[in-house]
Amino acid sequence: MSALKSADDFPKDGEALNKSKTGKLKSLFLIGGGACLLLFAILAVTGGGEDGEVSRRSVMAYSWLFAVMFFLTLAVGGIFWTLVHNATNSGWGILVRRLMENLGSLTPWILLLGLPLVFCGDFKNALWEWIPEQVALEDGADKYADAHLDSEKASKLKGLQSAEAALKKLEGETATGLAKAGENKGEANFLQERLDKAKADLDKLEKGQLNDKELKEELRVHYMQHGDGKGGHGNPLLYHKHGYLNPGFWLFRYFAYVIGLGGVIYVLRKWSITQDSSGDPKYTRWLRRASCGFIAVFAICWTFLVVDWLMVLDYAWFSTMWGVYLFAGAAVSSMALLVALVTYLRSIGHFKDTITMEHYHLMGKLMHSFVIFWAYIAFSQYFLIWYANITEETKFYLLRNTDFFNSYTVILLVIGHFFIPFGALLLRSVKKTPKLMVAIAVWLLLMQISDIYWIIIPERGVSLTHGVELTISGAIWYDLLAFLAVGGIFGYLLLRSLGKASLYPSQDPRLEESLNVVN
Amino acid sequence: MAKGTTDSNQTVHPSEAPGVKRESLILNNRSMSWITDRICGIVENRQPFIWWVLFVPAVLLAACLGYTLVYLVSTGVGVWGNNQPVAWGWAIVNFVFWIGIGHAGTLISAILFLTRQKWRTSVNRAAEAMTLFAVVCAGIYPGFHVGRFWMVWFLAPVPNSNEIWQNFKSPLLWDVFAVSTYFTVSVIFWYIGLIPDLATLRDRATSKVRKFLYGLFALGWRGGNRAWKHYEMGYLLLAALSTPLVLSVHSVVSFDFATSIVPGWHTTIFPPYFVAGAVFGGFAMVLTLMIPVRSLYGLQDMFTLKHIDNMAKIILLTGTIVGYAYIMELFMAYFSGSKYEGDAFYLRIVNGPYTWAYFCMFFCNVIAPQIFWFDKARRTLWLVFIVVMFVNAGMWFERFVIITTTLARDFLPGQWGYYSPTWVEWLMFAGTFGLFMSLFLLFIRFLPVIAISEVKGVLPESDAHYPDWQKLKKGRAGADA
Repeated sequence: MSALKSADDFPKDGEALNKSKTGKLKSLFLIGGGACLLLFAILAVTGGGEDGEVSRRSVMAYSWLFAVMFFLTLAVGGIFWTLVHNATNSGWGILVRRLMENLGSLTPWILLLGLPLVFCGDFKNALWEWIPEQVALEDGADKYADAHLDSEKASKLKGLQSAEAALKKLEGETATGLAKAGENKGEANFLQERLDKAKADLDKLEKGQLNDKELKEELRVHYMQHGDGKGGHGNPLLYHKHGYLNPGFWLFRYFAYVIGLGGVIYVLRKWSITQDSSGDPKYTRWLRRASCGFIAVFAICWTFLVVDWLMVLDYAWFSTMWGVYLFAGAAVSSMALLVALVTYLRSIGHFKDTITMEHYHLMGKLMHSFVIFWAYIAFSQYFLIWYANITEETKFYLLRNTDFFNSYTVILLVIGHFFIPFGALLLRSVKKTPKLMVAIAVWLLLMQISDIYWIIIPERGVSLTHGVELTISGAIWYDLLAFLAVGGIFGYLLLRSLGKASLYPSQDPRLEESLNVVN
Repeated sequence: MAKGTTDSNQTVHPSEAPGVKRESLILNNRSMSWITDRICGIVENRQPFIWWVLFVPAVLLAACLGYTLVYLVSTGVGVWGNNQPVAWGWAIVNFVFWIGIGHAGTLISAILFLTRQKWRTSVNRAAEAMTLFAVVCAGIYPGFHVGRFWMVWFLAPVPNSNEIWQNFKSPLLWDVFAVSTYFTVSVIFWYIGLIPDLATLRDRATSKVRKFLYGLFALGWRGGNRAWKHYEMGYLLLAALSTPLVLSVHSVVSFDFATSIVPGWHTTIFPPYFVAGAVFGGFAMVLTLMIPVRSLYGLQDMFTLKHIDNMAKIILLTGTIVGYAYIMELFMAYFSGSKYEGDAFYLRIVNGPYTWAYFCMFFCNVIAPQIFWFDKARRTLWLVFIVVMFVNAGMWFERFVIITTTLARDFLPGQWGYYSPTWVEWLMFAGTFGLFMSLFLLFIRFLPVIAISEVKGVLPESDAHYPDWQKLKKGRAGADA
């Protein structure tokens, strides 16, 4: 066996990115991405469209969400791996940890690329129907309340006169009902509550608390729940959800995600880079302790981010597994990107004596286990919804199991995202062969693109054409353009962040463990 | 490399700094022979008095289980408190409770093996044994709930038995397959791990009977190089095969509930949430057993505070995951806008007959383990013991909350009811603890409680690079001086 490597044999300031070799690629990313971004912006700005027809801008909204979301999963996966590496006190991956940190540090930037989704009215109205529908609902409610205020007041006053008699009658009914109900607590509860409510109403009426504001609110709620019975439809579901789904809170949450996720990775990366110069072991302790707590911040931010951006593409749909599902995909695909990145950096001369096949093997194992985890979560979610067969839940899969999307789902997600990489990564020899690992990594990235596409795009047809068309022809070119735009910027930012510090934490106390790892 | 500047001892290399240095898993420089002597000694010497103090009542309790089972079978399932609408009472609660406990063993032995967590070696044997005993206790409930126990073979898909074909669409049937597969593979895995240690006991045996019996089960193990090579590969493959089982068993148990359309049961997060809960409860039970065992038999040098610290961390993590699932359930009950889901949770936590049980569960499972954020707490034995007791209770309450409180409030108020267990159920549940403890105490009495051959593998001298590491450290010491 060869002798162990000592950290003293490697330069103390680590390894700087060879900018002469990456410079071209970086400019290509910037120029290509920038050009695509510009073209996309022009097409979006000019794509207003007339009333009643599907505008180009609304089609492009979905493209943008798709592109931003895909690259966001990669970046957020970087945060996840950094957190896990620190929190579990790991030694094997010190050499790749800086890459994880750099990948994670793109998160706030990608979230900022999502700004048009949050601020451009046409974009958000096209994507998230609950926003325009809620505005319309509120408007209708205001109008209804204004129109009916006087008549409501009159009828309430009239009601006061008969209310006392009615209450007496109700009391009698309740007493006989309670006697009959006997052991049946549910029935008894119901009767008692009905009586209590009538008493409270009467109380209110008698005390003359009939102020306009309260009455108006009552009328508004009535409209939102039941409509006006003439043509203005209420929307009880949206009314029920408005505590969470309202534009103000929604916007607040967006900024909370930027600060939460961005803050977590900023702190971790900063400490890690500071350690490069001092080698102070206190940072290792800090990183571990902070990461444990940050996992909670990460989990909360990510869960609600994917609820806010993806789950509410159809606001009637819901699944408690949603956050975990998107997290699983993010973990697999960002590990795949790390494998590809390591191989690229090795091909231009980096990590020569440091990263070995052992590291590939370990990363392969992690990729493998998360491929399985993703399949487990995806299957469980699908299976439980299929088995219970409740309309509100099955609609998500019905849409994605119809026509074209059916074979798409089976071939790309079931076979492509699970069976192929699962089988390939079982073999140790594959995990120790960089070329094969990169092939699998690229494949997994393609599958993650398919997954995000599958989540977002099927909603486009039915939302924009109100269920007439499943797909919109020609829209795929906008998807591609958006992908290139965000991808170019992503690539540029990633190479830029790589150049800012050593490629690995050069003075981490456990560098030797990573240099000599065997498994 | 720079020295650890913030540490009081300036000559310490950063990798040896406090909080960074890897802790040894075997303390006090114990030798290989000490390990063998200490572990085999438990089996070879007379048991301490306290063993009998625990064993006799445990057997008596187990006898109570036997009595209640006879009473149940001879009288009928009506002796349980199950009613309409609460058709699933303690039988299912206790089944899921025990199955959950049976999770830690295979997680420790298989998943921690694949992830190269060397600290598992001190815990895995006892945890696996505990798993098997827990699954035995769990199996009693579905087995006997059929009433006519001799008909239980109907669960197996024997073609054309009495013109009955099993309902393959039912998750309850999948449960039969999942649990029996899990039990079978766990037994094999446990037994394969035991073989080298049984050979050790055989070689040390002083009586003929012992020599014969340990020899019989050691399958002629000689410890040759080739045997070890095959053995290690076989063990690795078994670990890989067992890993999906850790996930599958409790996922299938969760399907029993989640495939239905009962509000409060049907939710997509159930499978991973149940698995996390099972790992949580299983680790708590391992600690409940091992904290006393290590002091009783002087195993502190092999089952160290570091081991307890790690397990407490896993309890904190899984407890918090369970908390995440509770919160997601509540959020989606609101967010879905489903009236039934909303009411189910309203009745569960605000105004229902079992609200107290929900808060017991929440406190025990989510709040109590949060104390493990503190290093000190994870290494204070009495505190760890109290918290794991909370967790044991909390995981039982979780199943009770999910099953009973949901059923007690059906869709129509006319179908509302209340469930309380009868004395038979109380005694049966206590009896399963008796059985569990009896089996575990017999295990300590007759088999090595720590995997001797594996634990030797984590000694520093077992590392192929041991001399190189020494050299590396020596060179450094010279440079520092």
